[in-house]
Amino acid sequence: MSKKKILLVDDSVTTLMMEQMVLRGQPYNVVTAKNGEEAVRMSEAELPDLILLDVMMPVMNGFEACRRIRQNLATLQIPIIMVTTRGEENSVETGFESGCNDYITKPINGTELLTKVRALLGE
Amino acid sequence: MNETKEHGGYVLKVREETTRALATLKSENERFRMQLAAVESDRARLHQEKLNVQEQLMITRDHLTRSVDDHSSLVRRLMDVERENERVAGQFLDIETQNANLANLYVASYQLHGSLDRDEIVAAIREIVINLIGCEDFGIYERVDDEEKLRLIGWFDVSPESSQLISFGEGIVGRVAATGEAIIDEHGRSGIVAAVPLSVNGRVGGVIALFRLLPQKGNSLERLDHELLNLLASQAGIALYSTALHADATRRRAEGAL
Amino acid sequence: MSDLTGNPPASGTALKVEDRLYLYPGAVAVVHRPSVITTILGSCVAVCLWDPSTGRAGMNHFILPRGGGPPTARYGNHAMPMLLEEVLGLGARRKNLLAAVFGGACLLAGESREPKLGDRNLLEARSFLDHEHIPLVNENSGGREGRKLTFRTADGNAVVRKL
Repeated sequence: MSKKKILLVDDSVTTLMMEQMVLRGQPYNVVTAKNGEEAVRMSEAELPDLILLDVMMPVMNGFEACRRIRQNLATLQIPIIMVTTRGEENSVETGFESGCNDYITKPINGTELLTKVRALLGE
Repeated sequence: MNETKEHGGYVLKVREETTRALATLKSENERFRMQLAAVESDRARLHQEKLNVQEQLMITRDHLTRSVDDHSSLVRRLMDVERENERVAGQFLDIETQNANLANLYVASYQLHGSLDRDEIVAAIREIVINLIGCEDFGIYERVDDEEKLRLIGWFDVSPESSQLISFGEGIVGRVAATGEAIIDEHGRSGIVAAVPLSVNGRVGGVIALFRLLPQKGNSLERLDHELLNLLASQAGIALYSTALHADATRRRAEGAL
Repeated sequence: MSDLTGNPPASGTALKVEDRLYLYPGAVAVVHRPSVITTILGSCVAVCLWDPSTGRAGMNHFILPRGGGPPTARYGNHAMPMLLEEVLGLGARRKNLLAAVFGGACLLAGESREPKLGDRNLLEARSFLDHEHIPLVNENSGGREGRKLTFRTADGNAVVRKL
């Protein structure tokens, strides 16, 4: 069985690196994008099994990227976990309205990230 | 005479009847005797059956006792296994948490020593504070040469105008610089959640102050946050110092080339 | 009076302005005066406890069913006892407590054969309430959608809006 693919999207190199470190050694292929625009492009090209999408990013934010991913027939089914910095009511609601499936708040807790990913993609 | 004859007839009749009654009684008696024998035999059989049942009961009771014992011991073993399972699951979770924490520390350390460019190091410190600790209201202060003053070189929400220069001993940040001792105040009553000195060879070269954590953290620092602050205290100062040495060496090389 | 059921309150029971607070994931909130506690749930679970006689109430919002390390309300095995202790500490009467459970959506059709994260979170909440003999009077859980939960502690009204 081929490895499941995860697309990590964040403009912070530190966050991306941390997420990659946590997922290292797990049976997943990881690809990354640094802004919403790249995320939309890569979700179509890579067809990942899961997208971990930051909200606050330059060029295109996570909400807009989420909406576009949901508009594309090829990518509309891909599960998206939104990563919100402030975890505030409005921000999370907008995330769900944009089409995300679940959310986590920053700073990302490695154990929680891994557990959620495993729950969604299997071990 | 006739009377005698009649009497004789009567006696005969009585005798006959008596004989018949006797025969009947005899046969009844025989029947009862047989019935009694049958009852006796039944009783003996039932007694035997009772003994058998009692024996069976004893055996069953023995089995049952053994089964209950077995069951109890199985339940005990099951509980032991469950406890062991829970303990191992707990250990597994602890190890995963430690791994995740180590990943954070590795990334922080890597970022702090990944460049000799001062701006990149300041950006790395900012990223660690924002993304790994979870604080968007902070200040990074650097010592002004050999003076006992701090200058704000990195921030997010803190107003740069209000505290550009801080003397050693002034306020909490100044006090941390003067004493070289970190201050942690998780309730944030002092207006600062944490202030840690950035030291190089025992000399305070700067201070990182966290004024307020992200709301979802409820102003409480977790074990990982303490470890990250320790790492910043010991490594961020050295990283900044290295960039200064590198800049100095580069300048000298350029001057030598002239 | 409604009791954690999510039914609109009868007319004439409109409440005065309450304290409003938003509950972040991994937190517990308990209140001793009329308040409105809101939170947003995906696969996470929120449990409301309410004592109708005193109005003392509380809510938690946990992310994972169980976790090791120091106690944190991010994990159900810590968040549930924390909520109960804090509500009782505030003066709620244990025998009066009613509970409601929300969230635990299985938002994505994962292929894992293991029970889904949302289900595991729900199980943790239910088994704690069962163990503590606290009646579970309302539950709005599972499914695929996120939920916005608004819990009004003055009358125990807990309303869910699907997102």
